[in-house]
Amino acid sequence: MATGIVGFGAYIPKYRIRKEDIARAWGGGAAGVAEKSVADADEDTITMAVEAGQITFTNARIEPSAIGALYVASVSSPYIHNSMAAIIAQVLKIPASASLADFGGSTKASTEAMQACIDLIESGRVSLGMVIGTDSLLARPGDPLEHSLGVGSAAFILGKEDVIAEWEGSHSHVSTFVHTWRSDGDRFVREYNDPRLDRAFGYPRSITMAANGLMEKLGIKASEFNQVVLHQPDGQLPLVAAKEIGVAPQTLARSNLAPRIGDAGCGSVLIGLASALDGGMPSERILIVSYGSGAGSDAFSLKVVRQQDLNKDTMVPVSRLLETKEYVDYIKYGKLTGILRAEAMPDPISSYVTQPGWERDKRYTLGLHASRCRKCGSLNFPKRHYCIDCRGQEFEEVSLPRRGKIISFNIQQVVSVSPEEAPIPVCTARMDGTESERGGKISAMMTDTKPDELDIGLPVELIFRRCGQELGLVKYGYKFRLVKEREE
Amino acid sequence: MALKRRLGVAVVGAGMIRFGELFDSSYEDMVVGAYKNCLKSVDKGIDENDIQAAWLGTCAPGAYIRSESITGAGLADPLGFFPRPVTRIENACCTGSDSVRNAAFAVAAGIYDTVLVVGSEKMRDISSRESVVGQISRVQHLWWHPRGSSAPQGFGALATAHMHQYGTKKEHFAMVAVKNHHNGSLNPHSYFRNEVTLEKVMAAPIVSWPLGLYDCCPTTDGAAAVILTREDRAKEYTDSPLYYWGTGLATEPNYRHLKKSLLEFPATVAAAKEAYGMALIGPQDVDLAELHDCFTSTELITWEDLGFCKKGYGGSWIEDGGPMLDGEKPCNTSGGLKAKGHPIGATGVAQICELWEQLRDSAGARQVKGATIGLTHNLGGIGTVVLVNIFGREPR
Repeated sequence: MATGIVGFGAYIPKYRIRKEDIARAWGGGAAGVAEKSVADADEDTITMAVEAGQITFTNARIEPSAIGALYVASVSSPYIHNSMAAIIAQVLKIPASASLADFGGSTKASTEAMQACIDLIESGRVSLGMVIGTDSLLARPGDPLEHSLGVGSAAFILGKEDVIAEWEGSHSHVSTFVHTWRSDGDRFVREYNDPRLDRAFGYPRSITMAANGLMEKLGIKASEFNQVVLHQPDGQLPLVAAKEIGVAPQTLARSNLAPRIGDAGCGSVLIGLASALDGGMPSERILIVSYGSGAGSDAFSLKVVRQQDLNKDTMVPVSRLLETKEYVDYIKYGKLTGILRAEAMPDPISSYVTQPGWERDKRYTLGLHASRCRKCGSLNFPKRHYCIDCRGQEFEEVSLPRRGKIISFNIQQVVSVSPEEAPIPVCTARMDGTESERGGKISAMMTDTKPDELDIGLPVELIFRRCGQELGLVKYGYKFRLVKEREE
Repeated sequence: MALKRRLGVAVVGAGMIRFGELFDSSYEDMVVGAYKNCLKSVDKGIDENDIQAAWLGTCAPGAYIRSESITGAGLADPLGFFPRPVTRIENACCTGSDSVRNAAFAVAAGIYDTVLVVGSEKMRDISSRESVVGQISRVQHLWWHPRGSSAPQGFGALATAHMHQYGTKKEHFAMVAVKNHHNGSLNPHSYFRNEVTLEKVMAAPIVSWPLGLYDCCPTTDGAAAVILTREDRAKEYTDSPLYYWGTGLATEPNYRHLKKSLLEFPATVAAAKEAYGMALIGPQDVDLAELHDCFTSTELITWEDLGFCKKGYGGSWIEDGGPMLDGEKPCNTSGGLKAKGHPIGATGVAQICELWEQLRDSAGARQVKGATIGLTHNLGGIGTVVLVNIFGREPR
């Protein structure tokens, strides 16, 4: 029994931005790309992969519980360290015992995943495997790449029974020529913008080497391919490469979708293939060649056996995704992609930075104004209505004494707010000239004091220092310091 | 249904501070201010030492007032009330009235004779959008961003359903705002003292359709206090106490999608049933009511839930003038939450302050003539907890 594709589906978000609207901002354009796809603000590489997976299960009428492996390919995973495949498998209800893998490194990761999954099924270890290629690529605003980098995903179920298209064989070509790249921490894909250099050393060469190698290996001539699916960095380059391979431009008619959606990265070749297979006739032969900058190309050949059964009510052919669209202008595009961003407001509540409270309290927190009870003489700090010692209601405003004597202290080793450095001594002091039971005492952190210098009864003084920082606002206040008498 | 129907509790003092954006007043300043006004309201005077225990109603967390938490010390400290017992109560917008209910239970049980209740809320030490009513999230739905929902959104859903089912119009809700602003203009304790026209309310910016700016009560600071004592000791403090005839408290699920109906507040119906049952009265006996008009639509639906008018007929009832100051059953003579303000923990207690003036013929320009039985209603969450209290001028 031949191994091959037993089900497939794609997902393209509905928003599009036209070339003219990007040009209105920055000028320029990408060859052959009239408009490109844009994800909604709450979509990403993973949500689109889930969408493609769900569409595929519906299209193929296969249950997720039957899937033994899930390979997900992307160069725009939200995470460097966290599995896309695991999240996607859980949401799609693929069994926890399935074999999962995340593929990345270049936009040909999707065909690498296909290859690996075919091998897995041919080995007999797994009967059905799913491969998803998904990407949401972003260029710097104003970069020529902005005209072509798009979004999209597609999923393929591979197996041995009742295949739609048989896998005939594959051939790879390694090329380390770098055209586009993105480093750890970068949000934007960068390019070495030299189209003629790229045509000489990059995409067309890699595609051609892989395709020629495949045709030689399988003994197939170019003219025997009815359809051809190439990675689409724009709408024009696939046609250039097609000519060099020796296939007619019409063979790309169904698969070259860049003119309408741009470059969907790891989704590009797989969406193109899904579109080709939507119109694939039995005994047709399809050539697929992927491309990854800094990686090279994988080429493989498929022989169509049947069409995916058309259950018109629920199936989602690629044509429907292409027709379902809504245009956005550059400003909306900016908000959806996050290149136009405002900080969340209001700032989250901070228990310190409540402005009215801070304003009211400055007289005593900064000014050290205290209230001496006219009835009993108790020094009330901070301000209050009823004297803390006698409930009297008449006060005289005085300045808080700066010096006192330690009543008790202890040393904080575990501090609740970093990055205050431990140890932090804290003490309560009886301020000089006060006597009352409750009033006349102050508690504060200590500064410029070594823990082993401390003892009860030692004199301390209040000094003005920083007491931390919240939301960029410095918390000023007072701390105690041991009084060090000057040596005569 | 409560097992004991006769509480035997009376209100002998009620005082509040004017609500508003009180940036110059701290939480403690407000507690003290309400307490002092309450002491002044006791006709024959009261020795502060008579107060044996207190209940403090505050809804928000301490973070809102630069404190870690708010305990009974939130009352005991500023009033110098320590070491006497103080319980801090929190039950969303029923906080104030639930503090009164619990304080009364202690007196009814004979544990204490004379107790103090203070409801106090400082909402404007943070911006209104950061407040507890601006940031409802998980109470509404599992997946909403912490800032995705709000109180206007929660209550707006019932307004939409009511309009759809009963033909109630946005104008009917607007008439509630006009009424309450008019009443507030006659109340010295009210935050807003200005009248508003129907046109102004209808033209106001939309907050969460169908609710516009004037359909929503303001975010305010404030405090109110009452003193309760045993019914048979009331005359030591005043010749005209209010008698606590009945109280009812009811609950509903948190998630809005699990509510039985979006056309009524089932907890209001249940709480009212318990309160009416304890008070041995029906809605027809209520002379005036202080209702929870956090939103105009909420007040309209509440008239139906309390049995003041037929289900679905709230719009007609206000068209006929029913809840107006000169109507058959004046609602929110104080100006309601809309004009008077709504510092959450204070509101339930302040509503009793309104009844204190109305049932003792001291409400001045907004006096409802001959009122003898008054009802207060509070609604917390989106109708998740509802508390109805009933007071009478005479012993029940």
